[in-house]
Amino acid sequence: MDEAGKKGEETTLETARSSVFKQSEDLHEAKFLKIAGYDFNCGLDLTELLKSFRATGFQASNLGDAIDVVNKMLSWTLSHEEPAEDCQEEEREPTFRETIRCKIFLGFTSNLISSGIRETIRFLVEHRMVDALVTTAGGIEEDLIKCLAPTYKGDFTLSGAYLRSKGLNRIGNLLVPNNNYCKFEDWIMPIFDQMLMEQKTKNVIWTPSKMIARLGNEIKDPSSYLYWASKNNIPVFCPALTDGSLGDMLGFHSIRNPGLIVDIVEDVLAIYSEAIDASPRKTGMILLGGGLPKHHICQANRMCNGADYAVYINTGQEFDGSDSGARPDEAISWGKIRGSTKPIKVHCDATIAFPLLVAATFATRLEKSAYTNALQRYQSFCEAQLISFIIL
Amino acid sequence: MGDADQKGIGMSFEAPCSSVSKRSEDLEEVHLVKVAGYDFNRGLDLMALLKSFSTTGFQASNLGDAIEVVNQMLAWRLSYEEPAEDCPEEERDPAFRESVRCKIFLGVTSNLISSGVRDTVRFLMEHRMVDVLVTTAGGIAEDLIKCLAPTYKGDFSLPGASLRSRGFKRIGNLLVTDNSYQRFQDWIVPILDQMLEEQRTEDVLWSPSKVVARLGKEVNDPSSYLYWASKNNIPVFCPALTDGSLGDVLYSHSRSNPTLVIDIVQDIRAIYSEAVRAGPRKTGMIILGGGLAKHHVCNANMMRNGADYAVYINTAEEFDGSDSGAHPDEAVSWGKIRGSAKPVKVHCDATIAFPLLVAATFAKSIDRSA
Repeated sequence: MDEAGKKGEETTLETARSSVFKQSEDLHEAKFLKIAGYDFNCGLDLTELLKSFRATGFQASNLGDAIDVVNKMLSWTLSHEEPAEDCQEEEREPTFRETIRCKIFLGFTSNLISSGIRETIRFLVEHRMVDALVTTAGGIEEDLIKCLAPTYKGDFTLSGAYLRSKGLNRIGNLLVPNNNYCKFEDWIMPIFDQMLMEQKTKNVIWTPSKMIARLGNEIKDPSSYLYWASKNNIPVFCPALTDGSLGDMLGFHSIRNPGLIVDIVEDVLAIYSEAIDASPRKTGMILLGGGLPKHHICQANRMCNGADYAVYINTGQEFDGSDSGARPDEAISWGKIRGSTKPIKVHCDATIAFPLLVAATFATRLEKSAYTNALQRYQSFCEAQLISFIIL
Repeated sequence: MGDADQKGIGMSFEAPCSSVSKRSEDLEEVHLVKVAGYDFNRGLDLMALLKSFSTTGFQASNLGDAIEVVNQMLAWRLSYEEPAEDCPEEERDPAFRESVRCKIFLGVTSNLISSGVRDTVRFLMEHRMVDVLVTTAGGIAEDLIKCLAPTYKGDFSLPGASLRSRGFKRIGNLLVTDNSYQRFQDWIVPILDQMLEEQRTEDVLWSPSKVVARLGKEVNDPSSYLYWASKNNIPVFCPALTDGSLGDVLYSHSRSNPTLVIDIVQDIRAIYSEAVRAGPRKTGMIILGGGLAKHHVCNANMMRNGADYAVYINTAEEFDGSDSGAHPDEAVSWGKIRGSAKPVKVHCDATIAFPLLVAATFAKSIDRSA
């Protein structure tokens, strides 16, 4: 090869090299987070492990960002904002502004109540950490049924025909015996009778949320999140209350003792009012799973010009145009989330992500005494149950 | 190395060999189907292409199986079954048995009505090819709104904030204008006034399916599937009717008026009766997407010990324990599908799979003169 040819080849190589190794901009560490995972040499520390997620990448980072957003929801008070020019005198009061906190809407699908996420939700409702709940029919009845009989762990691959012959119903890798639904029927029918009577004699128009509050009051069991929702006056919305075992019960009841009306119009007014009346509070949405609970909370938040904070945890994908899989940015186009916020979607099954999220947010804010009190309350309930069982 | 050792090595080589390439059974004998795709050298033939799916493998085969199941639903007649011993005399009449067909429940999520699948659903309703429909609130509102203003194609990646400022709402890669919802409101309010009047003066107790039938009648537009449902007396169930723009309208409506009552108990009784009263008919379920639409159709079929035929088309996976992603076999454990049925799940977006399914089933059997 002659001198010129050699030189030519060198230039070509140099061009190739410079296009492969294009000089990067300086990523200032102030602006960009350096990727690093948890160092197990530091020992087993849950809080530190959760903290490390943000810098771990992929969905761990999204979970870390979600933790950040929820902590912002919890820390925000009206005192962080300048009073609006036209705001009322009492609203200017600094101590008042200190007490006004973010209003949190929690949505979850029914399978999560079949799962152990029920206990996480019960914790949040027990300590009044959320302000409004939306779920589907199974999210109501499975909570109540668990107070009457347990749900068991099974396997995704158990054969349907075999389970059917054994009277077992499968929910993913969980199993619910048919008997549980029979116990539920025995428990609920007298309550429906009573409700029908009140409809006839006191002109009560029942709605799904009123019915749920009543059932939560009747169940009287501190392991139930509906018991706590009813006790703490936290509304639980479920427009399609009939789409599950509760529908079966209402159907059977309407044959045995006809006339009970469950009106959905009043409830849509009630959930919209939750959003409209939130002002001057900010609103936050935490949505576990897709379907109706996600859509319904987003719909309500349009009424206050969009939520200020939003966290989605689900496994849906957007490619099929479903609302379940839609990224938060689709909700911005509808005015369900404000354009100024940084919403987060964690692509993960909520049975994994949600307990971790709560561990790093809500659970860190509970005072020690509240824990002890709750534990004592539960123990005395168990003892009382045991005593009544022995007496029986 | 001793003789025995050498033999040992030989054997240990032979063993993995026989387990890796274990001699297979003669597959022709066990009636297995050979995998082969469509040969485009045969020219463009839609029917032959659809037929080739069942031997193409993976989800094409599932779609092929779904086509087969739907064709079985359409072909079934009571005359194919022996009369039960205790069956009433009139049910023994062969002409009667020839006329009794499978009762088909169709479940559709709202995004599919926003999409062009609406027109496929309209075709089925127009020709009375399905018997019961279940959807969610958007599945009602979007059908009516499309009669007032069109939905446009957009892109999944259009930024939400800029769409918002320009008055567009995004549904996946579709766009709807704010104006459409305004027109919808203007159209529906006088109807709600009228319905409220009937509640007051005629003691009508409205339910979601009654409201939907009324709206279908009022829209009076043959491009609407609700128009055809109403005309052909096909019930459309939507328990969570308030979870969409209908909820908005009801909200503003009841602020200026005493409230309209929409009772969901009547409707649960009505859809259960649809399943129970199917009587000697078999029932089939075709369920597009997940969520309420899927669960509600299955739940109703539980009332008659399960559907005889079932086809799911959706993109959800079972690993998160959702009903949306559950395999048909989970529904067998609940008695929503009979153990004797051969249900099929097609893992595919219904906007692709459903028009193809209809092409190879319902549309094929239609009388050209219709």
